[in-house]
Amino acid sequence: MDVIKVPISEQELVRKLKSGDSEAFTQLTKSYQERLYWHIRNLVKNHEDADDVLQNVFIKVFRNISNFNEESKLFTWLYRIASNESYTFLTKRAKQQNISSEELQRHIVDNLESDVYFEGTDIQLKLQQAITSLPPKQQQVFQMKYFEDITYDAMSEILGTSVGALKSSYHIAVKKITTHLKAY
Amino acid sequence: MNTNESDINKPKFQLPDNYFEQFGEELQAQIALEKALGGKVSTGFSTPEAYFENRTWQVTPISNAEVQETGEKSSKVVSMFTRKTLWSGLSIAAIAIIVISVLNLTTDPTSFDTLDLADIENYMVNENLAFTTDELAVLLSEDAINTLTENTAILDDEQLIEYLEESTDMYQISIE
Repeated sequence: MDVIKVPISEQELVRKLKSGDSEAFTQLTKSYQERLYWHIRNLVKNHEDADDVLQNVFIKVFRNISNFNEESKLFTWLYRIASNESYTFLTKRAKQQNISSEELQRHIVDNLESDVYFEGTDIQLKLQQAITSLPPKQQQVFQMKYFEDITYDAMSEILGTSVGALKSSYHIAVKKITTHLKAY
Repeated sequence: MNTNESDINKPKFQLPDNYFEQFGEELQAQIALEKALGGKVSTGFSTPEAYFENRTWQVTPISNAEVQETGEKSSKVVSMFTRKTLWSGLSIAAIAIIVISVLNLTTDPTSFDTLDLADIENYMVNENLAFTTDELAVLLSEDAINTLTENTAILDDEQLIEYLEESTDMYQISIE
């Protein structure tokens, strides 16, 4: 007889994770790997780098789950770790190459055309270039809203910024990107 | 309670100041972006075929050295907190304590109450100490780490381990 697995609640999943249940960890990765991957990928752009950062995120989750105080939702905690890991990765990479983070991002986007895992059109490439021209916080807000459809409330929890400020940030980002697209 | 007909028919909801002006402006900006892009567009990023289906995550107690030996890329392994990683954390903390105590040249003894892991991290970032723990684990033998910690008078292994285990940020240091 087939055993039907019923999805467990987030609370139950966290309880199992905290008790070191490896199956719960597998379930966590299966549930969140794709969303987290795309969140990371939007920030680091390159597949191999996103893959490495994603692994670091899950290692961090695995080792720190006991410190998760459950005041926020699990997914906002995961997104926060993913964002932090992505920026840590980019900062280190820029430092290694002795260039600024902005220069590094421009360099990464300039190389997208030859990236086998970038299948974007000319306009998609221009959009990436336009995003890179924004300050880091605006970039993140725009990407989370435009590409990932994350609600302002969830974004507010993840980024620790008020909903009003996020809306304003997104609005400014949209205007800047439009201007950039029209100029090029 | 006094209520008249017009009050009953009016909803009691409030709106932020200039709500509709702001809404209109935001909508126009969004439409301008859509026009510039020719509609809603995706990132253009792709992944290797069946990337998510083939990706396996295992929780296996495996040392960093073993991970490096196998050098496998396709099957990712999440290693548990190993003794070697702990020693890497210890070695970083030890190096930082030595550096801080030498540079400070104060008569105050370094205590765990005054040691802030953020300072260690900042020091490592600012001084460009770009060693990962894996690299440290490779660079330093266990004997070398033992010698380092044993020869450091201000360190007490048990205290340090306890401190690192209790610290939320300990993991951050151990993987960075």
